[in-house]
Amino acid sequence: MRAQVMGQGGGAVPHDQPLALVTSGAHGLTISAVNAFAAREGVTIGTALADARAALPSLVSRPAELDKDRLALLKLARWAGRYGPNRHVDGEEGLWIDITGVAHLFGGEDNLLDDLTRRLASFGVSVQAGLADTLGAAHALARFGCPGGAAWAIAPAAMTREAIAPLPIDALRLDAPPLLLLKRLGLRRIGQLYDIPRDSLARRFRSKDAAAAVLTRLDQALGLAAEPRRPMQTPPVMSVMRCFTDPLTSSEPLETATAELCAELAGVLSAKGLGAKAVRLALYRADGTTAGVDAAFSAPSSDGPHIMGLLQQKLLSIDAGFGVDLLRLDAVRAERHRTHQDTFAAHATGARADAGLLIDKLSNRFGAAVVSVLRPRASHIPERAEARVPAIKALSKGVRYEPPWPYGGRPYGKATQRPPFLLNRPEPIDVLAGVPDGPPARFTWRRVERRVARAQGPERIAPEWWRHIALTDNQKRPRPRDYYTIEDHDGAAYWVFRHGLYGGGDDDGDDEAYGDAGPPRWFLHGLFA
Amino acid sequence: MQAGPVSEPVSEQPEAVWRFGCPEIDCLLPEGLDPGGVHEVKSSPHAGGATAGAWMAGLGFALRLAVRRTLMAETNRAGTNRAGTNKDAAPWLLWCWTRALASEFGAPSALGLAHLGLDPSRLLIVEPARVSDALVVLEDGLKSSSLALVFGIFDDIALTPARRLSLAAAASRTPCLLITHPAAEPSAATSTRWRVQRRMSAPHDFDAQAPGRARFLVNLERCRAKPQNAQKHSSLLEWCDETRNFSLASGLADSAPDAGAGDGSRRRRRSA
Repeated sequence: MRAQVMGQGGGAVPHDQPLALVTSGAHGLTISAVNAFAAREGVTIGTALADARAALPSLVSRPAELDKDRLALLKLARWAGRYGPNRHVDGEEGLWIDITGVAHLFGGEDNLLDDLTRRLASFGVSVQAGLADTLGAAHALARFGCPGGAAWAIAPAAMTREAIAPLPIDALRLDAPPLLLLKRLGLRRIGQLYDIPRDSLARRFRSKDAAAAVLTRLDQALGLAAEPRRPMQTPPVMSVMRCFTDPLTSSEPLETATAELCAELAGVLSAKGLGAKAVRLALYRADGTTAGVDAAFSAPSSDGPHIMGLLQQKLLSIDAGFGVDLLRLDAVRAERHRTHQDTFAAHATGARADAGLLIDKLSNRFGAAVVSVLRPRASHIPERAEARVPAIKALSKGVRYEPPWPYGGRPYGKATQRPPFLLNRPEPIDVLAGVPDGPPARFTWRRVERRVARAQGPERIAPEWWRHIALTDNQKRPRPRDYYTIEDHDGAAYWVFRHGLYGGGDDDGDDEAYGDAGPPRWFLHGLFA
Repeated sequence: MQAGPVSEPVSEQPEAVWRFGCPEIDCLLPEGLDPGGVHEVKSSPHAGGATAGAWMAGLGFALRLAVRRTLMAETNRAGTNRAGTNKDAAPWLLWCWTRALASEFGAPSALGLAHLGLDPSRLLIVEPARVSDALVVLEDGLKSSSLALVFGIFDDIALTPARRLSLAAAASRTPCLLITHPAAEPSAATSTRWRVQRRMSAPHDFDAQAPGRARFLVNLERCRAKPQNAQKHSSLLEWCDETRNFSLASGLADSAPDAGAGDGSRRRRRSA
C-alpha cells in the first residue's frame, strides 16, 4: 500500500494551486513531493525547485518535514492494525499489512480494499493499494498496477505471475544501476524477465551482487523466495474484536463492549487451556487515531471479569474522541494455565482468596515498580542481601520462591539481630566515642544529638573480597564495617557502623595511614522498631 | 484407622483469638483484638515533634501485633488442614506507605522482619506517591480478602477514609493496622487505638551494657467493644523474640539485675 499525505498541517494551501514540498540537497532545493495539480502541470519529483519555478511561476513550495511524515506514517500503521495484527511501515511512503485470513471479516478482499481506501481518503490521504500473494507483488501493484483513477489493484490468488507481468521493471524495488542496465537491454516489463534463463540474465551484469539483487527481487515478487518482515508489534496469541456501525462515544457502552470482549477472550483462551499473561486493548477511533490499554498478570489468567477489572481502571482515562468504531482485545502473551484445586476445608473456612489478583490490580493501576516484594540475594552485605523485586515479576516466574528466608530458618532469625528498617543509603553521623574503636557514647543524626545508653557490638562485616580482588592500586577499596546496635535514653534503637578500622591499614594489611579513604567514618544504617 | 477426609463440622473448631499473650492486657479485650477491625497505633507526641524514634515505637508495636496475628493464623491453619498439608499457603501481609515516608525511614528489611518473626517473602510492599493512592491501595487490599493483615502508615487520616477502611475490614474480616503521626488528631472510626511509647529495653540477660528485650509503654486509649476498659492505665509491656509474645515488665525484675550489674558497669546511669 502506498500512502501519501499532502497539505495536512502545512498551512492552508488550496487544492487548486500547484504545491510542492522541497528538501535541501547538494544542488539546492529539490522537489520531494507534489500535489495532483502540480503533477498535471508537469512538475516531477526530483527536479530542482528553481527549474520548476521557471516553468510554472505559480508553484507554491513548503519545506518537507520528513520526521513528521515518518511519525504520521507510524500512526497510520498503528491504525492499520484493524485490518490485520501484522503490519508496519514500508519505506518512507508505504505501509504493509498482512491480511492472511482476515479478508472474510470484511466480506472479501474487494470490500476490504474498498473500506481501507475509503477510510484513508476520508482522512485526506491519497492512497493506492495493492493486494497480492507476496509482499513484492503487492508493492509493485500499489505503485504501478492501479488502473487509471482506481485506488487499488488485486492480483488474484495464485495469479501473481500473470498480474505483475505487464508492470514496468521499476516496480521490482531495484537500485538505480541494475535498473538502468535492464532498461538498456530492452527489458522494460517484469514479464520479459520470466523467459530469460537465470544464468544468462546473471551473465549480463558485471557484478555478482547486482545480478543477485535482480534475481532475489524477482523471486520475492513471485513468491519463490521468502521475505519475512518484522511486524510493528509481536503478533498476539489470540485476538477478539468487535466493530460498531455507530462509533461509541460514551464510556458505558465502551465498557460493556470491553467486558464482552474480555469474556470472549477468556473463553477462547480457556478452551485451549491457556491463560493470558499480558493483554492489550486497542481502540480504533473513527478519525483514524488509535489508543491502547495494556494489562499484565502475575499468573496466567483466563478469568474474564479479572481481565476486565484491570482494563477498566485505565479505560477511564481514554478519550473516545470522535467515537470508537472498532475494539480489539489481544492476548499478547499467554501461558499454559496453572490450575490448582481448592480443598473442601478451604471453602468451608472462608480461606483467603488468591493474592495474585490483588497484586495484578495494584501493579496495573500504580505501576509494577510501586508494588514489590523482598527476595533474598547471595551476599552478606546487609543492603545487598535482599532485593526489592516488582511483585508481578517475582510471582510470575512460575517457580515459586519457597520460604523460609535463607538466613534464619524457622523460627526466623535466631542468630543475628537486624533492624526491620534499613535506610536507603547509610547516613553519615557525628560520633563521640569513649575509645576510638569502641561504641559511640553520643552521636548526632539528622541534627539531633542523642546520648547512647546501651550498645552492643561490634559485629564486623568484611567487604566481599571477590569483588575487590581485581581492583588496581588506584581504585578505591571497600572497607570493613563494624556494626553496633545502640539504644538512646528514650528507648529508640539504631544500627550504626564504623566504616574502616582504626590503627593503620584496612583488612589487607596496608600500612599507610588509612590510604586515600581517610580516617574511619560513622554511618547510621538502620532503625530498630 | 479411617483413611480419607474426615467429615466434621468446621464450626466446632475454636478459632484462635488475636491476643497479646499477656493476661493483664488480654483481660481488657475479652474477645481479643477484632480481626475485622481497624486498629490505630500512635506513639506519644514528643516535644521535638515526631522523631524517627517516635515513629519507630508505633511501627514496632504494630509489627509485633502482626506477628501475633500470623501466629494465630498458623494455629488456625494447623487446625483446619491437619499436619499442615497446604504448606505454601502462608498468609500475605500488605505494607503501604507513601514514597515520602519510605524515603525517610528506608525500606522494610527482610532480615529484621525475619528476626521479629514475620516471613519477609510474603510481605507485599506498596509505595504510591500520593496519600489518596495509598488509601485506595489499603481499601483494595482489605476488600480482596486475600491478606492476613494490612499495614497503613499515614501522617494523618480523615474520618471518611478511616470509616471506609473499617467497613472494608469488617466486610472481609481482614484486620488493618493504622500507624499515624503522633501529633495528628486521632481517628474516630477505629475499633481500638493504642498509644505507644518506647522505653529503655530490658536488661540483657548476659551483657549489662547491651540492649535487651524491647519494652513498650502501652495505653489502650479507645476500645469500641468495651469502652469502659479504655484509658485505664498504661502498662509496660516487654516483647520476647523467642516466645513471640508480650509480657508485663515488672519494675522489680528490671531493677534487680541492673543493680547487680552496676558494680562493673561504666554506663549504668539512666534517666528513665
